[in-house]
Amino acid sequence: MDAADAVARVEAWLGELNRAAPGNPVRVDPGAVVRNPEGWYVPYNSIAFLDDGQAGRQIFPPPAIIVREPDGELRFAHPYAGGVSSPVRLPGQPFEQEDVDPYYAESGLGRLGVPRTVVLGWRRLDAAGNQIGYRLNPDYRPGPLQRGFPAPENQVETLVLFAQQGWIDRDMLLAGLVESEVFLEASAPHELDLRQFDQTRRELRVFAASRHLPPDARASLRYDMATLFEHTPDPDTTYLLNIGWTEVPVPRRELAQTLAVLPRRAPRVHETGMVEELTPELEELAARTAAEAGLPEPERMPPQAGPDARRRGYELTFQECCDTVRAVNWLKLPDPDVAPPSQQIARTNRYRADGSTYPVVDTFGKYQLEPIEEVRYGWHRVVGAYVGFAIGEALGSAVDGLTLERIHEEHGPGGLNGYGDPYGRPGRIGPLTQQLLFLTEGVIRSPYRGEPSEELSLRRAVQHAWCRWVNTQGVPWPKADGLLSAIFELRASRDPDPAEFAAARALVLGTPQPSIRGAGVLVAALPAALTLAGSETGSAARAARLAAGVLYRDETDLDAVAYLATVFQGMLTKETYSAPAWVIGREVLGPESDGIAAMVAESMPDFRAGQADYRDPEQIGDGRSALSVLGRAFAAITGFENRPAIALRRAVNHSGRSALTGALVGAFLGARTGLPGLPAELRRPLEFRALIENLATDAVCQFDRTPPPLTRSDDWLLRYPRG
Amino acid sequence: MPDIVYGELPVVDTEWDGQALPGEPTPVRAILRWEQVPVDARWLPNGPARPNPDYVDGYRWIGFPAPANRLELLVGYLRRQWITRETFLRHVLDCEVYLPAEIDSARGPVTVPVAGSLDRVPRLYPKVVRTQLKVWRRTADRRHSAVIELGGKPFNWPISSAELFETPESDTPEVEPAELVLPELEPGVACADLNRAAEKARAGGRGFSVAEARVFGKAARVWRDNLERRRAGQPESWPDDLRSAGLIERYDADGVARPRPWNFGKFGEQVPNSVFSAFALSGAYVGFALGEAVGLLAEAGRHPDGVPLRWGVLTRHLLAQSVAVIRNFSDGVTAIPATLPVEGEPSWLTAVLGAELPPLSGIADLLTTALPATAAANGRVHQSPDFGVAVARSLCGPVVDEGAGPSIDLLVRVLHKMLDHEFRWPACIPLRDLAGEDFPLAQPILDLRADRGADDEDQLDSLGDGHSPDSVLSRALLAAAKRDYDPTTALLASVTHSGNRPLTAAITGALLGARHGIAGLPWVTSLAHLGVLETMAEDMYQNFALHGIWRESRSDRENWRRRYWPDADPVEV
Repeated sequence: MDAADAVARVEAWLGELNRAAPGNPVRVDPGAVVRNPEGWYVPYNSIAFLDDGQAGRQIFPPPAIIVREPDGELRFAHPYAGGVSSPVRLPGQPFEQEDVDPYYAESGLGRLGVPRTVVLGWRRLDAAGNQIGYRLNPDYRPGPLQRGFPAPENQVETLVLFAQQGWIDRDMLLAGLVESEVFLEASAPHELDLRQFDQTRRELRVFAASRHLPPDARASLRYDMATLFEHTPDPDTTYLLNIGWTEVPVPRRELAQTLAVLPRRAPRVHETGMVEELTPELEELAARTAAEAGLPEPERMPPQAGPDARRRGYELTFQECCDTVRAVNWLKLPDPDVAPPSQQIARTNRYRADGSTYPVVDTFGKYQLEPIEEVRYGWHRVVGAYVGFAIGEALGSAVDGLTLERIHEEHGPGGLNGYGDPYGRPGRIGPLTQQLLFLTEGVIRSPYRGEPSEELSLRRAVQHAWCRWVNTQGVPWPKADGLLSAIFELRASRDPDPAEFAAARALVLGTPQPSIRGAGVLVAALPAALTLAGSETGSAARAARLAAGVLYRDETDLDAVAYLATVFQGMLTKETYSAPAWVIGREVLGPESDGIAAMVAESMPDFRAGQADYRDPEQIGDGRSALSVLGRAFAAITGFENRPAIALRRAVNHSGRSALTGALVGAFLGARTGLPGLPAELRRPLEFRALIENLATDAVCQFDRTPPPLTRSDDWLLRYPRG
Repeated sequence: MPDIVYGELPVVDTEWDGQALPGEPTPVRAILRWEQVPVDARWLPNGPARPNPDYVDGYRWIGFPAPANRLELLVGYLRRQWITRETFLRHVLDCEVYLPAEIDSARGPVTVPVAGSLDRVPRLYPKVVRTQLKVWRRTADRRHSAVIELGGKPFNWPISSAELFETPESDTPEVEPAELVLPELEPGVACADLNRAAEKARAGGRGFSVAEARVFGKAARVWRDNLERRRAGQPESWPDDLRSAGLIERYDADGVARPRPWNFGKFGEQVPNSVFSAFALSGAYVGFALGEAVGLLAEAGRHPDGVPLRWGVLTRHLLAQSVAVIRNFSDGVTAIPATLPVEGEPSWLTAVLGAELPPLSGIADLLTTALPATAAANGRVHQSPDFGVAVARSLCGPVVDEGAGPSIDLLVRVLHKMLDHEFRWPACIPLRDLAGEDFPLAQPILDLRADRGADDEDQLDSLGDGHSPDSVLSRALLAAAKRDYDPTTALLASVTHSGNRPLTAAITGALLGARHGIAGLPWVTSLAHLGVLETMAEDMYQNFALHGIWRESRSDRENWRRRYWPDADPVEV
């Protein structure tokens, strides 16, 4: 099809339109016809405007019809760039309206067209526009974002992700690519770093974003693909498009074919720059800050900051770099109480054995100050999971145990959105986070790290952890020592579940322990999972059963916590990609877990099997049993992995243990994205954030390959005495 | 400096479950003490606690069985006077209960058995109804009274007609009455063998669950089918994994396994006029082996959850000693020899386990003799604990005088009380009875028990070196006496100390088994050779019960002789 064919088709249809709606007849504007990725873009407007110059009769925004290649279907172009087109319709006639997957519709790739695989179905409308039915599309495939792949942050990442998951075809990928920007590693400004070019295979690695550059990168070149194409002399070059967790090869010859059909229309992009942490402005800032603080020599960015952040899939923003430079200089002062003049300083606290704090540089959860090996787990994922747990509980505490009806009465039809203030002010941690901290301290203090066969010692250490927590709740336990017992602010009572509190209290009082069951058992899963951080420690599931078994006996409960620990084991991976719950949850199912398998099937669609229906948390069990709460957490997050705020809302707005469900979903989200991916408005007011990060970091260190007491000179053994 | 303001925090006994009595305040009798918590100065320690002179120990702590449902919980609270009878009755009317669906009142008023859960229904009623008493009484004969079933006549709790029909009911949601069929009577599950077993289990307050009834029913069919095959001279066909098919080994005189359906340790084959409970004796044997297995695991730091449990030398000796005791006391023999040799004498047991008997490693290991020696005082030969003590000394031989004697003496007497045919005493009761000059070990154990909040490990370690007979026994008795309301906690306590863990745990396990039976012990399904242990315990019971094996038919007695005297001329025996 050529432009003339396309115009003829549109003219024919506009004739029908003029007959159906004769008020303001329209015609094609042939001079503005262009070829775009979806097909022929044929603008039209009113004859009165085009031929007679009557500006008042102009249709605005100017409409256009796309004649789709190669099938010739006529579609209304979206009035705004990036929006999706829709099939043409004549007024006053029945019609089938396309229902496009919102993830695709909002992706900004509308110019590429609407593949059949992204159409959920069609709404049947009568002549008056009322919906009279719905026709499902058997060819629809759930999209990669719904399936929990990492959220893309730019057009190239979106294109590669959609292409890899079969949402767009190769032509659409190429058409999108020629309009996209990429990064190349530079050894110095304006010079390509040749280590990214494989001479033998003629492969040039290009990066979808600067955060994907190699950890030790110093500078980058930013190109649009069409310009890069022009600057690539060898026609046999293949570009390796790197989006962090995967790479896609694109031969230059393929781009050539695409550019022949869709020639460049956008201006050239060819820029160069240093990575943020090496920009010269930071040198100046360091000198200025050192002078303000009275330091003889300026302190610079920690050298590992940028590389370690990129290794984890993050990058430091310029603002974060500035805040860090200010922090390293002001924290160099011997008196930590000297207040820096700027509030923009990356400072957080660490805890001493006596419960006091001292300031350290805040790394934003993007890089780690001390070197750790991270044999199995990613430090940033562990810290994210802990903070996420606390956020989720703090959110859910406001509606914990309320029926959904009551939640709607109190918070409107959308339910709770943002922190309530169940403990006096928003963001205060709840009893489950208190317990999580103490249980984590317990596993750190157990000898299990060095002697994984010491199961009884692990159990005893967890028992003592419960006793220390009970001690904070007003019932003295004479052996309370170590870090958390010294933090008096943790002695706040946050209305723990009465039965769970009684079971823990019995350990201190020596009175018979009540038999309890329920979802509280799940709190032990995260600390238990950490015990597997090194290759030589025992099984996470086993540790979970041992730790949870201190208060819980029911086999269903213990199976649930063991299963959850195994799920966390998968989620906390040190790899750049953490699979979503619906994948890991199925992969770790054992042959013996019928009840768990049923819960998984009920709560999470199996996208690989073609299921795509979101599950309603409210419908999964009673909201109080371990399997039900875990199922509700799975249901809340599945499909919403890339929308943390919505996932958290789904997790807490139901008639069950909202705080615990919220905590689990928060932990899943945090494990997936680390701290930077958790909603900032929830992260900022969170109580004890520094302590939570401190303890989670210590847990990672404890269970890493080289345990801390051998390598650290700080007061580790005072903070975490044995047992 | 301003005065510190303290708030009083009631420290409530964890046996009090406020959620079981909605709307009721925490009773003062259930408050252990009041802690003085600084209100605005959390960095300060609590002030001196205010004791509660009105506190009354909880029902589990003093030895009542753990409640299996809300109804039993209420009885427990009433027993300790934590609640008044009026409060009790008001909430009893609200509880979910299980009653016979058909009550024959033609002959006048009856006492209706009321169970708080399906497993507590005392008999095989064709149908039961799940309801609340406040609903049920609306259509019931007002002359009826009720009895709350708690697992046997001595424990059941009566409710008079007046209380049943005149107590005002509370305005709480009602449970729609529903007719149910007991699990063992369900179509497709029920069979005569299952019904007989279930009847016995229910009589002891330990009815089969739905899953257990199904497993037993299937196993019974397999067993019955193989009996028919045997009678017909056809080869028998048993599943490869007997245990998962609900079967357990019993052994014939030649040591050949004769599987039978397992009753989950829920009852024993009690015979009339015996001193001991068959249920408790089997529990003691299995508990001993379980304890040793847990102790052996603990030596390597391992927890018994989900791990195959293998017992060792101590249990092997317990079994060999049992054979020796049985062989000594054949029909009509009452004399106790000065030394009763234990050398792995031939019997069905040696055919199963082999004749090799590894040596015991220390004088404290002689404590193993206490259980078989006590079991010999079941009525046929003698029924006094002194007899058991003498048999134990005979089993030990002259080495008993090297320091084990007093400990064995105490343990036999404690076991003798705990194996009682009617009551399942907690370990603290015989200790209390025995405390005094004759048994100086007992009182310190009771004193330590009273300090219930003290660390168990510290307390156990404070009792001797952990290896001498006195020390091992003291530690085992403390673990049992302090924590025997919860066998899991007690067993773990018995292996969490610095001494001889397998022996300590074996003795604790025997005491726990005597109190709770096999059904009340944890991890039993992982225990190796459970069938051997049960067979031996049953043989001990039968051999020494007044109306045991020696009152049975000639052929049975001949068979018995072949079991234990395969090397002897029957005439001699």
